[in-house]
Amino acid sequence: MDDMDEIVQEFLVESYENLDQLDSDLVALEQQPGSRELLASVFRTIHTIKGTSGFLAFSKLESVAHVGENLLARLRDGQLVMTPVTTDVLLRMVDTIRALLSAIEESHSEGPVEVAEVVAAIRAVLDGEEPVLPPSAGAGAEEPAAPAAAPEPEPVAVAAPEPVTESVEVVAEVTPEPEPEVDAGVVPQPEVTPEPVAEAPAPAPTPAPAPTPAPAPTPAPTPAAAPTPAAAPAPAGGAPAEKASAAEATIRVDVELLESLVRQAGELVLARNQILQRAGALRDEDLTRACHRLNLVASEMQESVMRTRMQAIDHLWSKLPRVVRDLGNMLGRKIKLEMEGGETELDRTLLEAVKDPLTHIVRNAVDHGIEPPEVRLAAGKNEIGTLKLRAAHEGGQVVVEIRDDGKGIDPAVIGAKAVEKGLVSPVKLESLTPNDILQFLFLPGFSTAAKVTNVSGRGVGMDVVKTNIERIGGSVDVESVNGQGTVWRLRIPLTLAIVPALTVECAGQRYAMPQVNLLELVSLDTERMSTAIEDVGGAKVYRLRGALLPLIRLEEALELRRPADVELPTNLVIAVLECDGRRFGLLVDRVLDTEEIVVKPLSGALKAIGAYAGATILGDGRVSLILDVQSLARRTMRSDGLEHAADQAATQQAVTGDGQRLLVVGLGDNRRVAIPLDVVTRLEEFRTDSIERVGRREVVRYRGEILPLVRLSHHLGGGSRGSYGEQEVASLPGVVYSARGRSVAIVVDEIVDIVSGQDAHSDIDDAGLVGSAVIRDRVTELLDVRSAILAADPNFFTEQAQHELAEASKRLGV
Amino acid sequence: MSTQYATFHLAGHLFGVEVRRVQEVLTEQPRTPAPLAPHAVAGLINLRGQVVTALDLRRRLNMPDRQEGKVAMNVVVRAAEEVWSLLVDSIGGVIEVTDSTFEPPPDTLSGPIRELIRGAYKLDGALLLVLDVDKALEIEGAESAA
Repeated sequence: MDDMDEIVQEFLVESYENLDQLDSDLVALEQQPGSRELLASVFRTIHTIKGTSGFLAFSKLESVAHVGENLLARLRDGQLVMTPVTTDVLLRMVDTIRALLSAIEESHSEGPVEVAEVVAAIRAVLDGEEPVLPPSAGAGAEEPAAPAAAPEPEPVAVAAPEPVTESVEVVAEVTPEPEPEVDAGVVPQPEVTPEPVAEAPAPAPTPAPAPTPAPAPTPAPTPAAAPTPAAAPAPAGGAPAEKASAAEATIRVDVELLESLVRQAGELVLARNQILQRAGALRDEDLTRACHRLNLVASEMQESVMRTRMQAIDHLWSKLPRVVRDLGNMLGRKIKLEMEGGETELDRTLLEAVKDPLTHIVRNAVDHGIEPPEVRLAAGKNEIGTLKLRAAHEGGQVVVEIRDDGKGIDPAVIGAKAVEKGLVSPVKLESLTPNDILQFLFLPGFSTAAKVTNVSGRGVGMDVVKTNIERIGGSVDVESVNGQGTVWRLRIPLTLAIVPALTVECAGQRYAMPQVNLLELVSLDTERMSTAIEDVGGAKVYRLRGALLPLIRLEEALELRRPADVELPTNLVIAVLECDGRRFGLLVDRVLDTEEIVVKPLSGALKAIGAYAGATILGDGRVSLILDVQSLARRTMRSDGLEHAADQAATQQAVTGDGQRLLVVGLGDNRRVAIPLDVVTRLEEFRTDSIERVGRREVVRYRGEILPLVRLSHHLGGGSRGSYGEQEVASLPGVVYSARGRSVAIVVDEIVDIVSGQDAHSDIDDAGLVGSAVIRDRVTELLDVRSAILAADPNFFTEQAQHELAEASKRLGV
Repeated sequence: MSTQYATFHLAGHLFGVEVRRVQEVLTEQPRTPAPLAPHAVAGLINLRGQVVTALDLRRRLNMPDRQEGKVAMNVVVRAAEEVWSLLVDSIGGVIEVTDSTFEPPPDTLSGPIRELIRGAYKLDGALLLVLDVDKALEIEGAESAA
């Protein structure tokens, strides 16, 4: 029941604030009846109250707000014009709402407050029956109406916020309320901010309201209306006195001010780090002691300041019961929603960022996770599905779990879909664990919804969730047991202002990178350096547990020049990073440390480079640039994004799908190249001394004809054992391709093997290649046969032959 | 009418920046190089916890680089929404000049200097070149020479 209480409390605070605004709006409206802004603002307030009261099942409140809303809608749409009578009726509606709110606050129910009168009065105005009104509002009201509006808000405003604010976070309320209003209200709005501030001192005259409620009923228009207000002050009068002190415990603070406090606390922490570093070296006992204290105080202060921006995750969750209920009803599911750890706090900006992803996952769980009751019964489960939300602090992060006991996610279905979409080859799929397969859910454009419903499956899927969560430095993963349920786990940093980062060194300079992108570090010593990093057409790759990891040398990416006095590193470190769902390795000289850094903005000129996400000041006071890992990867990798990756996947599928067999040949520099066996007519050995030159081309006499020849190592660039000048090789193997009476020879250094399919594929390619793959544990480049043949004989392809080769190429995905 | 200028020396020239634009003047500060940045960006400095971009005015004005070992002084100026540091050879004093001695850039000036100079005040025995700070800080894209 506590959850509910909090929602009610929140609703009360919200409504009281809105009502104060409403009073002044209504009065202002009387002066300028045509103001659409004012009308819109008033309408919105009542609309909000109506909506929430309906949700909380306060039926009287809802009925009053409902008719009020109708009246306001007419006014807003210009079907009715503001008259003093209308204003009066509306003000009475406000009073009634106040009375109801007070009753709710006191007794958690609407109590005996009479609403029928007001509802009838509003209906009358709606029906254009002004004459009917006078008994309740007419003669007496016109004059007292204005005074009524003036004194009344005061007593209630003072009485109301007091007990309510008690249980509500200060910061929490500052934003959500004024914000939505700001865009609409023109003049009155700026006053919204000062107003709440003024409320803090307001409680001072607390004793005053006690007598004031008494007059409250008096100005209320007529004796006929007396029962309505009378009910209100009765309960209101009793409570505020007891709770008076609660309001003094909280004040409202401008969020901007808090932001600047957080920034300054960050600075303080940095300064402390610097002092600690220096002091450690001095061995001065007094200084050390003072430093310890500084350390302690700074840490505590940082924590407290951070807490001012914290909000319980309940603020998000409170909206979910409704979402689940409505959705469940719509889809015919029976669902029990459990929430645990709602008090877990999170920086409010992060909270805001998590809102949509969280809602999306919850909707998904209801739509795709939990089965209809009959299916659940058939599966031997309780017909009521359970959706459990859990939030907790874990190692400096907040973990939010969304767990359902539904049908789970079938890896087979996901896998089949991934293959169908060309995201993975069937061969590769077999080697993936069920958990790996579930990760496909996070790829763009992946949706398992069999049909598009209006609940989910509109193309914005888990990839958006993932992107949004990663944008704030968090992560999301999923686990599922087929038939038993699914768990989504969001990991969210506590705050954005301070980021855990890895500091690395390259060419004598230090750089920081956010740890959130970091998967692991691989250290390479001198011996392994030369062999472990392989070259694919000029691009470097590292074989990480069998998978090809494209490498980016930070030195090259940043065009660093090594100063003469800095020695070349004797070993290197590969930081394995992941962003946008792609892995790559960043080669740096050294990893220095992990550090909490405060991100500082860069000037526009540096931002424009696109290599840095910001700068920070490290413990020794020096500035360090923060690498923008994502755009570095984009700048450096040859492929441009997913389109290319999809192409490659198609290539691979074509190659492996057809059970294509490949001839693997060796070139100098330990390179391996694969040629589709389709285009191999014969394998021959050519004597090097039979190779002759015709113009700029090389030919070889072969079976009585002149065969144009291309040396693959030349064609692809790079050295070869059999190049000119080193005649130590007597003969070279060649691949002969014949079509329509014409033949060409592709000369290689050695014939290695014939294999079918390949088990890994990377994005790296180069001129003359269509990609690369791991074959028999070696990185192997896939030859673009067409360009190799054209290099040997530009006139090789007659029209017909061209067609034939195009067919073969299609299978290769060229 | 007169105006106050904070002055500094740069490759034998006397330059001035309106005093109200200058936030402070600092001796040589450790700089962190910013790879890939325009040539004139000399790096980043830590100004009491604020990261400030340092612009080498010699490079910006296409002048030869400072001799090895010569320190550069920082003239910290406020631009639209950012704070920059201008690297200069040495700092002069604050000079008050009368507007009547002002002339547009002399015809003998050419190249980037002419673009970035608003004009000159004729002082006794020297010319005070008035730097157009905002133009000097417009380095995105504009600066690819040198």
